[in-house]
Amino acid sequence: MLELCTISKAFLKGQPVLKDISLKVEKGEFLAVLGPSGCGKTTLLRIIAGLEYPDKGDVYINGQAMTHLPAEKRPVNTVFQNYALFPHLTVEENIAFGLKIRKIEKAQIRQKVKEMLSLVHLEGLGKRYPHELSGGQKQRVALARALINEPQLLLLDEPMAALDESLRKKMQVELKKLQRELELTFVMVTHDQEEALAMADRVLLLYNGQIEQEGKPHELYYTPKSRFAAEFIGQNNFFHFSQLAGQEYQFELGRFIFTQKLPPSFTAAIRPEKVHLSTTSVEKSYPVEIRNIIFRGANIFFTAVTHDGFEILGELPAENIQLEEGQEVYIHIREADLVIIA
Amino acid sequence: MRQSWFKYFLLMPGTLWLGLFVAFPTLLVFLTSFLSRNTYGRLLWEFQIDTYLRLFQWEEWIVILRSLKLSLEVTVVCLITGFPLAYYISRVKKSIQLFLLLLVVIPFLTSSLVRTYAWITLLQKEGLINRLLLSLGWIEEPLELLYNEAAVLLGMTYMFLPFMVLPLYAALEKLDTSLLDAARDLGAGAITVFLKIILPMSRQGILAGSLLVFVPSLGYFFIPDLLGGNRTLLMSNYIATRFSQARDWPFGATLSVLLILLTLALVYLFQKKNPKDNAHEKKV
Repeated sequence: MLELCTISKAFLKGQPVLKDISLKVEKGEFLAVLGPSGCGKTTLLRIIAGLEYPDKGDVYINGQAMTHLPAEKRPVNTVFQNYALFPHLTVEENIAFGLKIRKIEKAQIRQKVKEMLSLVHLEGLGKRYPHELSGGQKQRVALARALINEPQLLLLDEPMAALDESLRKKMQVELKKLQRELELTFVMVTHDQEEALAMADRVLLLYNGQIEQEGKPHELYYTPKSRFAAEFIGQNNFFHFSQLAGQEYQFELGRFIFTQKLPPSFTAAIRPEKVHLSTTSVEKSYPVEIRNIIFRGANIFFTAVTHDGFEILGELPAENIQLEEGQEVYIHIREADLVIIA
Repeated sequence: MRQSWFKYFLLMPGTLWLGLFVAFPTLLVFLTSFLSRNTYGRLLWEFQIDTYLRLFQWEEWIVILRSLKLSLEVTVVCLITGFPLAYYISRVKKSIQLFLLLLVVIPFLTSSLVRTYAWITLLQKEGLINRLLLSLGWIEEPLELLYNEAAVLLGMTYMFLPFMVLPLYAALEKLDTSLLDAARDLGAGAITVFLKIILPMSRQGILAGSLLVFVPSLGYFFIPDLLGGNRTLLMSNYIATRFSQARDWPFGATLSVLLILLTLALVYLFQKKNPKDNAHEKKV
């Protein structure tokens, strides 16, 4: 469906924004390009859309080279960040824009606009102007305006960024449902790791213009390949292990005996939800003091501090947990929960 | 209570100024237009409306129509030349924008009269342009560049271009580039983007700029005087000569009243075309 081959891009007198990016998107796939701001993800999207040309590399859509084809000639449509709705046109006129340019018959346009309005649940709002709509409604108009052209590939640039928390969650589900039902190919750019993990079939983690890691959401979450990936996706505690003798290692909490052979020195990460507590000392458990309990509905977060002042973030289901600040407990770490990074 | 009193106090200087130097003289002009004069041009307290009836004569209408036509031409030329300039300024880096806007405004630092004389030295028979063309051998006889309608159009356009560029810039600067991207993404080529997005989105600026150029160019008298010679009689210099050489104050005042009414009608039309409720021009 979409193929990028060694795309590189640098802006005038600047650092390269993208370095040798290659990727493939299958038909009907939902790919999320995830990364912090300034990682080049929006530039990548603009190159696919044809709003920007790469310095090097090629863009193929359905096997056809489109590297230097301008945006208006590509079978691709975009839902822009902040939606970029035309403020001087009504909702209907906004949605019809693409078809009008292609000189489609008026009656047919009217029919399709109607279909689109009902697809995105905006019946009856066709005569309104964008400034009379709420954030969620604007997003739907932007979606309808892009989808009416039946693009082979839909690009979404931070589609949820302008929505508030509860609406965002709802729209994530809705958008994903729409993509499944219409069997569309989506490439979405986002800085929100939760959103990427929740919506996409595959996630591409971009950092400093390079692909840091690529894989299914759970792969990225459970087996981050680099410290950046481990830090950016979800929360993590990092430990540094150095070999004492054989499989016995020293780390921030004390000593740890591994069952597998490992390099003499490495970093390992552990998710907060994998930090277990016990009131009694067991094997591979370390004394800590509980501080900063944060209640987050279903879960609570806490900070466990060792005698040396090293802090570990932990997460527990809120139910049936009697935890108090200042309490002295043991944290128990299992070898299987440690993700060895480097 | 105290606040509302203070509000009126703040309005005082402006109100006094406008009252003394705009409203009162306008009333005087209005009054004068109904007075009579003796053969030496002295005003007499005898009311008449003959000067208004004179306006219905064809010879007077020719002048009025010629004025309107020239002002329209000036506006159109300013719009065509000013739009690309304003668009360019609005798209470059902020720091360069300020510099370019400064360049647009700098001519105002010199008297407009002096700048008009500068055009004479450029355009006259022994002027810079003719001498240059002669020395290059492109022409054999000096061209008649001065004292015709084209010279007036040139001078007026030069004078009023900033009044067009500034409001256009203000409108175009607000234009979100992502809208242009969105239009292209939906299949619009450069011309369609211009006609369907840029042009309607800058409507406010076009209207404001046109008004700011059209209205004063109706009343500017020394450019047609200096660059047009006496060959192009326009409303503005027609009025000026009624007051000076012709010593016919009542008719000059009548023409002035007509000019004021024309201007007011235009401003009214502009306001109607440009209602207060333009929330959609704000950020979406």
